[in-house]
Amino acid sequence: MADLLEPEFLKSLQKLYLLIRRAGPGVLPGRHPSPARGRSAEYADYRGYTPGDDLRYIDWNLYARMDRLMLKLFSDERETSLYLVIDSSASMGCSPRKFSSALRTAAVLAYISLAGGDRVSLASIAGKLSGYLPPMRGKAAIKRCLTFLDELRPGGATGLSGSLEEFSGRLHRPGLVIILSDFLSEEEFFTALKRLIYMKNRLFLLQILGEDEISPPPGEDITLSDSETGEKRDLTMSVDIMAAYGNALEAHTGKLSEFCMNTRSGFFRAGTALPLEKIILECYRQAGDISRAVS
Amino acid sequence: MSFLRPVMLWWLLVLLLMILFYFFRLYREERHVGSLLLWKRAWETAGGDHIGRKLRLSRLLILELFIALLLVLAMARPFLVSSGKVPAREMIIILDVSASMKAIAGNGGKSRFEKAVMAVQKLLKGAPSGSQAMLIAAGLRPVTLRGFSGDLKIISEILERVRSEDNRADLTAAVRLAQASLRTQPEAVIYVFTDAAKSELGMNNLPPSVQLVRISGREAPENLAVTTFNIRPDTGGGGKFFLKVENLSPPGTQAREATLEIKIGSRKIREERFSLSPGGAKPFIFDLPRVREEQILEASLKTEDALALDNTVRAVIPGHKNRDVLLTGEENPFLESALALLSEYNVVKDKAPQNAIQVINGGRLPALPPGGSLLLNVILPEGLMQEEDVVAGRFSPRWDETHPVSRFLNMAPFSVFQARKLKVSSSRTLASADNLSLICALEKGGSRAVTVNFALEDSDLPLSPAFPIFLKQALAWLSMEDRDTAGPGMIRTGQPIPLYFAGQGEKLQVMTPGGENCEFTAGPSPAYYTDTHQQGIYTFKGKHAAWKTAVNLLDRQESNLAVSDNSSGESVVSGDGIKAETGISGPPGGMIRELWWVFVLAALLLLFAETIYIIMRPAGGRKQA
Repeated sequence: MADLLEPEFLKSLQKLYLLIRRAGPGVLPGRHPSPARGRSAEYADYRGYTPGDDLRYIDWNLYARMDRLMLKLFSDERETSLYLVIDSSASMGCSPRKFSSALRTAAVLAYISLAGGDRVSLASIAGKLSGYLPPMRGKAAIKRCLTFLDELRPGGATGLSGSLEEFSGRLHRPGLVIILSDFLSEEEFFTALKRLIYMKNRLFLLQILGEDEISPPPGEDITLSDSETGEKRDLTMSVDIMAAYGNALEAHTGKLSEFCMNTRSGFFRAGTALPLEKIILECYRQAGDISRAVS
Repeated sequence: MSFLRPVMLWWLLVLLLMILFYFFRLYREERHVGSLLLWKRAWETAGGDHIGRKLRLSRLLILELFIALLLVLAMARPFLVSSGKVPAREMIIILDVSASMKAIAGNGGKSRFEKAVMAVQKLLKGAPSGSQAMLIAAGLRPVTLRGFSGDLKIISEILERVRSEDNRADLTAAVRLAQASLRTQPEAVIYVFTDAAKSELGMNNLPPSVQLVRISGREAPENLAVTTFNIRPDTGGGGKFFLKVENLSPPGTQAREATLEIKIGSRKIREERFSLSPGGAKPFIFDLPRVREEQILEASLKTEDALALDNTVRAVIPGHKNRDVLLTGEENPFLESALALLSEYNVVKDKAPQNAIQVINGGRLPALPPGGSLLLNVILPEGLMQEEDVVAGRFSPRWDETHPVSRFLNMAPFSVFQARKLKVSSSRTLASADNLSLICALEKGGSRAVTVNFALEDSDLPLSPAFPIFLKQALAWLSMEDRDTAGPGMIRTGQPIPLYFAGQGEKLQVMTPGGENCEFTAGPSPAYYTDTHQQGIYTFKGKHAAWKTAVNLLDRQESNLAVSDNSSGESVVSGDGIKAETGISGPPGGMIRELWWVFVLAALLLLFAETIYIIMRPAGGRKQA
């Protein structure tokens, strides 16, 4: 399918990881500073002693110089959980390389996160939560991730709303939720997305569309068949229909983009012709922005 | 621009079919998409899938419609007539005056003949100054109505007086006559104005100098016709008559109902209603009523069809009245008893009634008796008969079976023991043996005679069963009952009618069905009346005899009004192919430029463009999932 277990792809994962590291500090790789003060070894600040504070954190040297009791503050370091939700509905398998592009992107993101020490969880949705891999840590977990992804096959309805509701029920710890889907669903799924945000998750929507969906090939009279519902519609591919389709696509994408902007979530529309590196870099950039915005 | 084959424009309906098939075609390329969500929105935004968009979009359909349109127009053979100055020319105009030209398409319309005359008038009117024309009427025998003349007005006036005949036309003979004139006028063009309902003048084997101007309505002519009619009277009066009615309407038309009415004189004796499908035929056989006086039998179809001429046929039924036979000369009981057996003859011996057939047994005559005479062992004057010798022996004569007097007699042989060896001038030998003419038939100056050149008692002929038959046939021939060639009192149009005179110098009046009268005087040789181009009753009245003859069309070819090839409408066909425009709306003239090749070329170019479009368009002509 996506040949995720092929040696060539595995080698490319490492290359992409190095590429991301060179790109600069971000959110995905490694441990992430927490806005909360904790017990790490890294000094963060001082504050005055108040009764009840742990006497072990009093800076006695400073007391000797300034004759004041000051408490040392250290920054807290936490692991980030990355939740990769892959839409494996039939619509994802309709365009060539659409589903494989989603799987490869998910695999790379998982690898980079695991390599950075994050916890990674995978889920596939197709009308329901059709597959779930609980959060894992460590580079060694990549094999399970890849196997999980490699076994996914497109089929069934999208059903984003119900699937995400079900998925959110599995979350015990907030993290970064990246949803890889075409988002071509007639149902109202923004409520389910909002719920994820309310659960203190950071959201990133990666819309993957086939090239034939972005700019459909011209034709004369055709019958369009919905890959999920099987519904058919006769259509004459006139110039105005093509223009109207382009407008509808832009409007649909704009709605998603607007939602993400309002909720400080990330959004990126990727065509299957876009190289994987660019998709990953964009994800990395936007996820960093989200993280900074949230902190 | 006009079309030589406008009937081909019906193929334009194919364009309509192409559009219909396009809209309702069963096959559409099926394309799988992830979701119809965006397409539905686009469809609603664009205002649905209306017909206008389909037509606007489908360049391929429009191209194909154009190609089909061009091909159909090419099939209709478009042409242009150059409007430049046309040089003077010579024309030989052949006008078909046959019976089928009387056909009328539709109620109250003009006949084909009238249309043809109009077309010729237009041709003459539109001819450049200095043109010359010759006019030939193509009937059974072509007649030159006017030789080459530069005064086209005179030809136009002659044309006004031409009437169509109830006859068939020999167009081939007319063309030959016209071609004979080409020797003096080699540049002349022969125009044949005809309804082309003839197969004799084939469209494809016309000489190059001949242009056929077809005059026929676009409507399919429906026609019922009596195509066969014959009468078989019995010797004692009565008999049978037979006729066949055919529906010569084109295939696909409805069955026609008609009533066949039979009249004797003005008295209707029978009426039969029937229905006949196109191509069907119905025979009728009726008893011939016995009449005492000569009567006209008329059978007519009561129906409205394109050609009324062939709906009526007539025949003259002779009245059944015994003829008188004057028996003179030596008495012979065998002869008398044999004559007594013939009930249709009254044998008298003393007073000679008028028009009696004379039977003379023995003796010598100063001249040939007028009318009919049976001369038994009679010597005629020199000039008529030359006696050489009397020959004795036993002769077994052979009869000439082809003559009406001597047919059916060979079955009963007879012998002659003594006969005169003589020569009868202008005679035909009916029975001969050993170079002896034993019985002869003589016809001279309206008189007929049968000479038996031996005495009856010198042969066993009176004892033979052939004797009464011979007498009956001889008397019938002498009474001139065989004067009608197509049955008693009936011939077909165009056939000659023999004229019978009692003697040389006798006058005979003929009245045609149209009421015209003409007079003939008997000459030394037999005469025939040949102007039988009108259907109806011809009346002959002489000093000693009067009779009537019915003339009928009875020509299936003329009654069949369908054009002999598949095309219809008014157009001009030449030996080199179709060249000129219609004879009615635009007479042949000027330079005719056919444009079908332009349309075919344009269609090919469009086809090429369509191919390029299919190859070059983004879909590349292949199905896309």
